[in-house]
Amino acid sequence: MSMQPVIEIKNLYFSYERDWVLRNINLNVEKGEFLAFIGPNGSGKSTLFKLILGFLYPQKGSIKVLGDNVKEFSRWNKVGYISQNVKDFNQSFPATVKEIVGANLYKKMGFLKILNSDLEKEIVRVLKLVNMEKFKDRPIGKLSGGQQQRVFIARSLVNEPEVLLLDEPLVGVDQEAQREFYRTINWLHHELQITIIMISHDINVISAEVNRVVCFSGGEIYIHCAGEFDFKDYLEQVKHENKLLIPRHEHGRE
Amino acid sequence: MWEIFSYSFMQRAFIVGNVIGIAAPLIGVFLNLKRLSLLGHALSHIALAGVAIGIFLGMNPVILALMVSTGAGVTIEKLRQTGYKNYAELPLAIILATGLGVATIFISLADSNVAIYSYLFGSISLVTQEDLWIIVPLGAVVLGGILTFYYGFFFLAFNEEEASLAGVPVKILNYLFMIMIAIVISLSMRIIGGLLIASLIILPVAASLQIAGSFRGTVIWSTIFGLIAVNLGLIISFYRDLAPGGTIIIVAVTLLIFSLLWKSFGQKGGRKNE
Repeated sequence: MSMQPVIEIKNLYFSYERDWVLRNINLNVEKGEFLAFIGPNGSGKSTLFKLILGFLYPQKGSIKVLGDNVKEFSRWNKVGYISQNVKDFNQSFPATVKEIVGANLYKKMGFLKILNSDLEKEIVRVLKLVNMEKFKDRPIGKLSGGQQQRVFIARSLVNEPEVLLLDEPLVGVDQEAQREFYRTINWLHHELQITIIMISHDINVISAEVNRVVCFSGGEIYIHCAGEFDFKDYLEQVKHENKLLIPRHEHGRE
Repeated sequence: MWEIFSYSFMQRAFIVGNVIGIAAPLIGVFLNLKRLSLLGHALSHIALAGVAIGIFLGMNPVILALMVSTGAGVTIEKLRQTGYKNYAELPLAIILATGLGVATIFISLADSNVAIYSYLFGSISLVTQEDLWIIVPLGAVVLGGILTFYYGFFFLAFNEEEASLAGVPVKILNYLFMIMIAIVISLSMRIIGGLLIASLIILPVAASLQIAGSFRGTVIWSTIFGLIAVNLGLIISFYRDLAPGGTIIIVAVTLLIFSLLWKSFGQKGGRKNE
């Protein structure tokens, strides 16, 4: 583990209106980790993503990304973000795979913001990593959900990110595509040493992949090493009580 | 056949028409994909208020339209980023209503409505030499702006949050975009008319979306359709003595119908299973 956490969250509080959505959150994400954020809808998982990405600012506490306070942080190209694109983007948006991936190279384009041949080679390189190079001239909306998700992974890889934030990336994606997705993510984690944080409801699958699990409940988080977390017990509680109660969690263990 | 080009007023009309024929659909691609097609209507109504004020005060109506609609464009963006962040269309409705209200008052104050009528529906003979000195350089500024920030505007249209992470200056480009739309609309008042310009922003894009398979293709086809609509519309309106704005729009509608038919027949031929 490196000395400098990739993401460092201290005593963070956030509310949209009156009630705290997140309370006293403390979390360090080390380089090379694979973390899962789990919890029911509305428990603050996506809100914490938005705070890490600087789309929202906390009322109290601080967030550091790659060593810098999130408000002053500027190297956003080193932070890959994959939202629930498959579910919510305009499927008839008239763009090819190449154009979608190329857009992330905005900062590397010259004065005229167009793709030169070097940047086009870079696009092909990352599309090869996710096995999508033969689809580069296809309209994004004509691809399956799984293929689209791989394109969005390629787009985030084009800037060689140090950390990847994945917000429920497998919503609406079929089983075979999910397996392919996990193979890709594991490869990125192990081979490229990219730090990964993933919001997921697919607890059974994700339990085999991650280093630590962060459970969100009642505005607080409970952190577990993957081997210690009883996923079956967790699923039983969710099933029977229709909400997340985690009585045996140690709060904020870091 | 070529007599149409021997008249100096028609030469001016074609110069201005082609500037608009490129700029309006070009900006329309980004506008429609941002799902802000009502913006064209809102800004054209406020530009009309500028024209009415200009005529009332005896000043150049195009310059007044430019000033008022640019101010309105910046105000819409400010409202979108602050008070009405989750109601993207509400600022447009507010500005549209304000524009129509102000325009109506100043039209009623004017002695004659002849001049304002030509700005509502467009007129070939209205373009002056002085207008060329305003419209051509500003048209070039809009084209330069779009080309310079092409991928930035593209990413903004796709997803603003993700664009900001990629280093796209979202706020600045959104303001710049509003200013450019305001410019295009103001410049188009002479030929197309305030009531019809929004259609030239929308129709060529709607047609190109039926046939293009990429963003680049959409941009290119929109521009081609825009140019065909303007040039064919001006020629027909000259020989048939029709209102140029209306004729240009009907040509654009015809192109849209052809593109819909083309797509429909193309699909009957069998779509590839992708």
